[in-house]
Amino acid sequence: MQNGEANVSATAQTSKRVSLLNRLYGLNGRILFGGALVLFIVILAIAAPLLATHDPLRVRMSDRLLPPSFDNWLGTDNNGRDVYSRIVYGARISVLVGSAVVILSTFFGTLIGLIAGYYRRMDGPMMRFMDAVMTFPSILLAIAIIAALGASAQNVIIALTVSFVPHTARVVRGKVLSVREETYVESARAIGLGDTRIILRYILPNTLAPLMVQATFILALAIIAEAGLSYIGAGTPPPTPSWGNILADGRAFLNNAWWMTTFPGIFIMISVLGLNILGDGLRDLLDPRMENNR
Amino acid sequence: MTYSATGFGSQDQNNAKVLQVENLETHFITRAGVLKAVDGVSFHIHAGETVALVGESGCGKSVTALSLLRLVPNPPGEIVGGRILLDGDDLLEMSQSEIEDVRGDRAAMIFQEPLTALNPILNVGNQLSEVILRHTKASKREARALVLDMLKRVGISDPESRLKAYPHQLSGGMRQRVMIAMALLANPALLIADEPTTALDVTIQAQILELMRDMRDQTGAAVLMITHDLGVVAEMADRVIVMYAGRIVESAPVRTLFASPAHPYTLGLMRSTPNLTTQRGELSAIPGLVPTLAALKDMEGCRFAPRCAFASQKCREHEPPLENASNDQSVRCWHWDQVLASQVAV
Amino acid sequence: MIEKGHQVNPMGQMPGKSGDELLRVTGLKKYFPITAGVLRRVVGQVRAVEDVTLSIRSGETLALVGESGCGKSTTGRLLLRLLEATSGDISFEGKDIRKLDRRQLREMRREMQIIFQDPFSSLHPRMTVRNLIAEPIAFHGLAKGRSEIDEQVDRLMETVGLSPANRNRYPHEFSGGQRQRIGIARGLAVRPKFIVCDEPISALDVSIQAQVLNLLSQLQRDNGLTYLFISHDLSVVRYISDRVAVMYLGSIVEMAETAKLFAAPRHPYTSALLSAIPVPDPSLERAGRVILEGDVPSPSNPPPGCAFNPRCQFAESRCRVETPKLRPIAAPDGTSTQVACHFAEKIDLKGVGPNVPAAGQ
Repeated sequence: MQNGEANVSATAQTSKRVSLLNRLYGLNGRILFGGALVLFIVILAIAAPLLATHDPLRVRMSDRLLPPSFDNWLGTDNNGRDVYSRIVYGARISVLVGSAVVILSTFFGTLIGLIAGYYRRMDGPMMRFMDAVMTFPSILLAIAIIAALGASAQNVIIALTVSFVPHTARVVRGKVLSVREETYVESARAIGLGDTRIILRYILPNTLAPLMVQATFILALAIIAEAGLSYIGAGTPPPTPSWGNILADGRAFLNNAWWMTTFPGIFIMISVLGLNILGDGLRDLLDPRMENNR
Repeated sequence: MTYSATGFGSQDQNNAKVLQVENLETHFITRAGVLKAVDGVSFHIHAGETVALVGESGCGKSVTALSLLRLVPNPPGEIVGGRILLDGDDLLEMSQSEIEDVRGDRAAMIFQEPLTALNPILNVGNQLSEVILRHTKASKREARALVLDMLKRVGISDPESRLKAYPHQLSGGMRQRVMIAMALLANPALLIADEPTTALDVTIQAQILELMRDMRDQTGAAVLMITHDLGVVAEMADRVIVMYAGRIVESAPVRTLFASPAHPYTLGLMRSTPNLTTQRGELSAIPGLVPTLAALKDMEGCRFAPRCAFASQKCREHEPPLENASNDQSVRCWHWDQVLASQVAV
Repeated sequence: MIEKGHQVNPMGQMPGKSGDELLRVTGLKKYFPITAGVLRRVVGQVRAVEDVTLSIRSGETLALVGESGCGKSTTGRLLLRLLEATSGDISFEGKDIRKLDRRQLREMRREMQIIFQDPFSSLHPRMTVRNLIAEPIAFHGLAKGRSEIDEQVDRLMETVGLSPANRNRYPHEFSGGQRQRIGIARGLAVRPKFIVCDEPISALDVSIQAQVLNLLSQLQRDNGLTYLFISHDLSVVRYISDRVAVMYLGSIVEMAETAKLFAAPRHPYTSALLSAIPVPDPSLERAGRVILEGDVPSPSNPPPGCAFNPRCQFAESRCRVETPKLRPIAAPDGTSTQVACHFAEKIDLKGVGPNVPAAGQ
């Protein structure tokens, strides 16, 4: 018996190790590539003062609309400001707004999702309200909120959080509904554990995987939304650089200064692409169905 | 009903080997290595005979059944060796379209859970007609008449109205009857039943087993029955093949096997299953665990040795061959004579 | 093993006759509403448990047998208040379980435990064996400090036949039988008096089932445990239980001592159930076998009168109108059996088992 037991466990151990390695190896591509792109943007934001070659706010009308050169790597805008430096500083706004929205919407969304999913009685009213919020396209909802509160980075965060909370709540609730029916949750009740402890120890840990995936997509959406809001003037107010308002400035000069729109566009693309690739990779890594594929 | 004479059987129909499996090897190629789910399995079934394939999860009985119709999911599964002769034709040599013609026609399968084996979006009538239309030149009207007749034969009450029912609208027992009807529509020479009553309640199981016996007697098909339930084996089978860890460990006529099992594993299975005469404290469990295929990769010697009360040093070093304990009983054990002797002593 | 806090059953005594009444259930009902539409209007009820009355004596094993959907698992959960009953009384050692408040219920969880059917879904996959077993000990304050808890965990693991060296492993690293042992250790950790075993072996391999059955028997002997053993497998029930209650469509139709129920069933359903068991003996010809026709009716739409009447060969017009009550009837040997059948005295039924040709007389 001991013999057999040792045998089997040993195999379980090796196969687990092998499969984890394999999975990491298989996902290397996407998670590493996506992660690298995201890391690149984050470093840009954190080290902006070191990386910028010029003061992003300094206006020098003599240097208006210069094409990319050795001095101004990505050219200058209509006010003679260095586009590269503005993009680098703009990354700060994107990352700041993005991560704040992710943290806040994850927190509130998880809270609502846990309560709605665990307590049947709360489910109907709470989720109907969330559905109502979700029926507004998130960008329109954000514009409406900003119209009421005024345009600032802080209000962009509030607006985007409100529009993303229902999505997170829905993901969490779905997971809670399925985990709640697991026998091991019943087993926790059978030994006497209370609701709070069951939610924290048995249910919350199961929602982390889908939450992580959800977070990467929200981050991407928030970055796009922030840029979009700034582009139409409902986001970060000028002169503070944000990818959206850099794009907006370039709109009038599409014909004679392509660099003003192309480069911020490329950066938005890099960050969103990176996040989506990372999110896809994470989803496959954390998908329990993958575990059964051994 | 006639069967083509085969290269193996005599002219006598009852002795015709409908199915002859020789040295079947089905492997699963996984990242953890090659797992030999079916490792050199040989057996045959005569017309009108029911052979039970018995064993626990992971012993390879279901993979054997799936291999017969080349239904093992590939990848990771692959039939790497052996021959499967259905009335003399080697199924492993056939092209994809040829084997598809065999499935549901010359050989049919009944699954454990009919709800997942039946197409949920086709009603019973269309689902069953499809089998006939696929394998014969019958018209839709003829097919429908045949289906109706078959549903009556498998004991479905009010078959006309059942034709329009969808699988989820039927009870478990009813679904299994539909499954059996579907399997028998094309008059298969070989019927493979993979745990056909495991998902059913005991009173429904009794109905289905009786139906299967009737159908076998009526059609004269060769039946391969996969099960882990010794009670079902005793009621259904003519011969029994016991599998353990991918290998056949014992094969015998049903009465011989139950009266004098020659393999320690067979004996252990019988002693660890309570029946209606087992007294308290009489149940002796087989110690240890059912081995996983991965654990067997580097194993030398007999695969049952770690759990076996009869095991000797020889067993741990050399795997025994399948040898004849008597005319019709073969066993893979070095000490089968001791196993038989121990039962006389008790 | 686990000595403290237990009234140890004197050995050698017939367990079925030993103890006082530990648990009494009277008129237990559980209806699940069927809702339809957006407004979740209640359009009907699934009568999962229609009328269950039973009592369990300390130290015995009462088996609850029936086919899927008969309400046996629901009954087990109602007893532990893992589900709330619609009506009825559950009294455990004289305390009314249904009236306990939250705190009292938590205390009660120490007395009554459950072992689940599926060892794969009943253990939290992210907890180690040590934590799974330690959780109830720590939660109920049954040990002080980490070392004392670990000591108890190790002892429990040994009790159920697991090597304590494996305490830091996760459930997925174990086989089904071993996981079931972990589940048993977790249930035992609070030193309960009463355990509901909900089909504890039906998900296990045949050769492993006997191991777990023997373990449960041994634990009962060592700790004076009382079991409600829920199962659909009559051979297993016959082996492990002292008394058997047979359920059909939410109600108990017969309750008797195990040997008597198998040898001389008094309800037609019991007899049919016994007759349907496949017996692992090919030399046995099952003459006069009763094969029930039809399916179990839906508990949302039970037939009027006796729930079994559409499948019963003895049914008469009275059965289609009047629901029979569970009532004691005298057996020839002076003992009594509880049966819910109008004609229990008149019909002649077959039993199974050794040396029992026919019952009824």
